[in-house]
Amino acid sequence: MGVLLALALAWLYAETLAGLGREWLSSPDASYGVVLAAVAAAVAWQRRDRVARACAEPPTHRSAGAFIFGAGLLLFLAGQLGADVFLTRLSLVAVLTGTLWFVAGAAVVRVLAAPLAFVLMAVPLPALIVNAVTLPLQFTASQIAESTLVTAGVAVFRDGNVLELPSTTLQVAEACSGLRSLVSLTAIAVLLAWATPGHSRLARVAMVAAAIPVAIVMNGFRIAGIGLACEAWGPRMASGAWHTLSGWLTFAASAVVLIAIQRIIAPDRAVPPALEGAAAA
Amino acid sequence: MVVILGIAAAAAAMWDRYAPPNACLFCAAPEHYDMALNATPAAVGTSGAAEGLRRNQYPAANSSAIPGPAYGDAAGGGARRSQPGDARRPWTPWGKGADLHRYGSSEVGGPDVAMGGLWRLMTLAHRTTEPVAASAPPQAARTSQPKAARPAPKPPRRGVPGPAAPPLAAPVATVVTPTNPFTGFETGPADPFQPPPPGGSLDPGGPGGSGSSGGGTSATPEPASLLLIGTGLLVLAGELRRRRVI
Repeated sequence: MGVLLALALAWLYAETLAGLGREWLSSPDASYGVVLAAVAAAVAWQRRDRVARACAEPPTHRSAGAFIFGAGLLLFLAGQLGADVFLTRLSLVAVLTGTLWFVAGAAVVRVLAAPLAFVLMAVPLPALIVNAVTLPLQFTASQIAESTLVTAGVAVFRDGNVLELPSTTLQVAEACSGLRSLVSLTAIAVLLAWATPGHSRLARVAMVAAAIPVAIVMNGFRIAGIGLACEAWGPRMASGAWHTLSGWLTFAASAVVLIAIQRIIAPDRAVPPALEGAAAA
Repeated sequence: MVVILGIAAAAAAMWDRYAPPNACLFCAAPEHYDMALNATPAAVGTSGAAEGLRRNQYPAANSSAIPGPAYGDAAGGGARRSQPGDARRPWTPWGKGADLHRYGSSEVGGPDVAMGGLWRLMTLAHRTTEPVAASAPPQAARTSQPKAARPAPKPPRRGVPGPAAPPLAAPVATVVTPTNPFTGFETGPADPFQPPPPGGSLDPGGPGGSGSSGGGTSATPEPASLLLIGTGLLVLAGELRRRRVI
């Protein structure tokens, strides 16, 4: 029965999974999904004993699982009819959750909630959201970079998302909007909030929410740093190894800042009791 | 005062007599005078040279090809044809009569003044065409244009002196294509069904606008999200190890 169900789901979502894999491997905006999917698989594997114990219990609230399963299928249908890959991919998580709930019970879903959430986060953002968010992010990053450069004593003229410097012109393009670092840092914040339990729900939400301004501001600093490097060493610093290195260092600094904020919001505790069992498992 | 007014009246009378009708007081360029003074009625169409010829203000039209625009066609179908009474229409400072008297062909007057830049462009376009042999008799430009719509201009009366025209350069092409200056020089729209080049800025799998975007402008893209989240995971692992979580 379980095998047949798995085969049916695989047949239903074969094309969706193939497209998702292609986008993960080809798009630099969505490649973070590979890491999140791997983390989800690792966490699920780490909790396999707890899953086995939960499966031993009689399933409860199966109707809720059937409802989620049906809603997921409707979502899949809507995505197919509307040619919206995001809805189709979203329905994969819903159908998977409903199936687990209906077959194994709510306890299994509770154990596998974190991996399911990571799979949900691994789904690339829809173009509707990306298009709506990218331009404001571009302008915000340009403004932050302009302010930083002016503070540093560099003459700069900003025209929208274009920064005119004495040595070169920097364009904060769509790929420079900071959306990649925003999504990646939010995922890291979720992992951090999940991996350090023992804090209140509000503190965890604050940890995740702090990732948004940190990512935006640090992206502005990254662009300002590129501008400063161009002024100091020439326009060639806007491309090449230094450029990649600056982006990488900036994100590492963003993660450090996020952890520092997390320490302020939720002071360090000893071994979190909730994770102690998970780590041991 | 009387002397000044007299000089002004004399200057106005001289301008009215010798200035070509399509020469603007404000923006006239020398080639305007040259072309207007040497234009054939067929080439100039109803721009006012024919009117001038009717008024016997110009010498016999030079038969050299002048790549001048046919205002009646190029300036739009709405260009007003000259009427017999136009030449003698009295000047009125508020109405269209002033415009017509000054600019000759256009109903509103403005387009002829604004045709200066377009005239130059069209002249350049014509001069890029293939030159004819030196022995070939020069013909008027735009011979391929239909002339049936234009009224045949009256032959100019000879013997009336006028301002001397400067010598023209070598004659230009006999057959000029395209006849419409607004078509034939356009670049067709890009095929919307043509996929973007792989790795280009429109390629979803491409670098995402990395590198220079031309014109000395440098884009500042972020590294791939795979590298970013990998870095974040390393930092997170260090933090969790410090906390003895993992």
